[in-house]
Amino acid sequence: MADLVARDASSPRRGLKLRGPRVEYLAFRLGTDTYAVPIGEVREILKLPPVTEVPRAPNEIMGVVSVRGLLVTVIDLKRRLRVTPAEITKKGRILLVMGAENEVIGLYVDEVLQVYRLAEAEVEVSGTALGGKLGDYVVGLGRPEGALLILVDLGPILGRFDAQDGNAT
Amino acid sequence: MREIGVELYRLHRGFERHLADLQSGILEVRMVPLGQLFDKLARVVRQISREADKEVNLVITGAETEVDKLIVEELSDPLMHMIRNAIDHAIEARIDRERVGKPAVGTIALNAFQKASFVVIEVEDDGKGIDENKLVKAAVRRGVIEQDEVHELGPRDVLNLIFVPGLSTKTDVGELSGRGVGMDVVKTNISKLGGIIDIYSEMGIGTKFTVTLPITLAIISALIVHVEGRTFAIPLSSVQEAIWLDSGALRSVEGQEMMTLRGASLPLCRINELFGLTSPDPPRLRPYAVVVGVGVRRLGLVVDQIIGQQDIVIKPLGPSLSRVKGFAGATELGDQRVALVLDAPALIEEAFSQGGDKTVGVGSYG
Repeated sequence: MADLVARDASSPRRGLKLRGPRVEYLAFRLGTDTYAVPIGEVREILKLPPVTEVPRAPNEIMGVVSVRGLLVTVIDLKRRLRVTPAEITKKGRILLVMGAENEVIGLYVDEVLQVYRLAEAEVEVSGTALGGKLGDYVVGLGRPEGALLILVDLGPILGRFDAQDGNAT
Repeated sequence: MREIGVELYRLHRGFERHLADLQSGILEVRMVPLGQLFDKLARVVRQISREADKEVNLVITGAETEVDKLIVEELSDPLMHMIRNAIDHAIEARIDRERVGKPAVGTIALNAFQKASFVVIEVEDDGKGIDENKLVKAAVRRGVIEQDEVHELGPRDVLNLIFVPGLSTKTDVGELSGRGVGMDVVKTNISKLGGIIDIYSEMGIGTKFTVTLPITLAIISALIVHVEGRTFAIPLSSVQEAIWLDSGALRSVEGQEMMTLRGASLPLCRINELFGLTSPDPPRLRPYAVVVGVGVRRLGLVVDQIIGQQDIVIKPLGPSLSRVKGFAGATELGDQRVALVLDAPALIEEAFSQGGDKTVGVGSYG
């Protein structure tokens, strides 16, 4: 716990600095697309432990898990980003990240791929590249050696939750 | 008559004050300094060092840090375990230490301090550290992870393999070169206290375990129940009784289901309906109702099975779930499985405010 709190102070989620020297991104798969976040955002990668559903929680919350005794809320990132749902497979992983209010949050992804070190030239900052529903979270596209990465900012993703009174829609 | 009344009132107030004093007194008595435990560990260090024929110096800091008495009792085994491992496996023999330029006497540092609402205990040695390569190989050989998953492991993941049950066996002691038996047990014990354990290690330099614990334990007695295959815990303090649901005594009053219990009306709340739970299994025939109540407002929580009574550590749900109503927190039931703890007063509040006219009090007769 002490380590987690200390790290948050040094890696703020103020936004991605896409200009500058090479930045390392962790790429993961959601459905058929590849997304990536700055590697510093990811504290740990876990296989899926037993998940306890939380009734009446927003639909995108898969439930809670225990990570070495710590209770962590797990969000289905596909639901959060409104990507087509898919089944949970053996390759599914939970990315532990720092959410709002110093809370460790788990993000469920379909598969963790690899770390890319992107040079400035390989990154296309969004503005016009992608719009629509994904507009808020997407900061750009990464194009290393023929791959296409949707670069995502976790800030807006983790900053807001709307609990619903009745069943989640 | 009036004098008796006044006298009774005065006595009652006196008792109330006395009780409040007792309660705060009891709470203070529950906190004890870790120093007691550390002293015990110091004796253990001397004994084990003799047996292992190694020279070990135990350095203690933060002995005055206080924790709940119950926690201290439970911490004894895990800490002893870690120290024993450090002396037996981590700290090298005198000759080996001198050969790599380390002081002949090994050092184990026990440090404790408070951080916000937590207590942190560090166990650090200057032994040979953990060989991560050997650890990964042992994990693969024991089927804990598969070969093609190895590249996914970050540095923290590798060291955390030490806590996996499959690896903590005697035959792997040599492979792990630094830690021996039962770290999975240590982790489980720490988890039961509502704490977490982290590990940091560098080959040739040493290993450090960091245990983070809540200062006091929210341990309560709870009734463990099953609803549609899910496990929930209901704090015993809210439970008046548990009864079998007699379908003959059920009736519906303006949409609110009721059961006649000893001549009075008990409103019912079907947990599976409330939470929208379903399961592929056929519906249960004889469900139970756990009667929870605050004063005269009672509610029968209908469940499928009552498993039993258990002491549990309640952990709060994170801010991300703070707006979800009906849960007092969650508890780990062992084997990493989490069960939600029901907030009985909140559920009663919900039932009675929703019901309005529909939900009649206990005193009404069928």
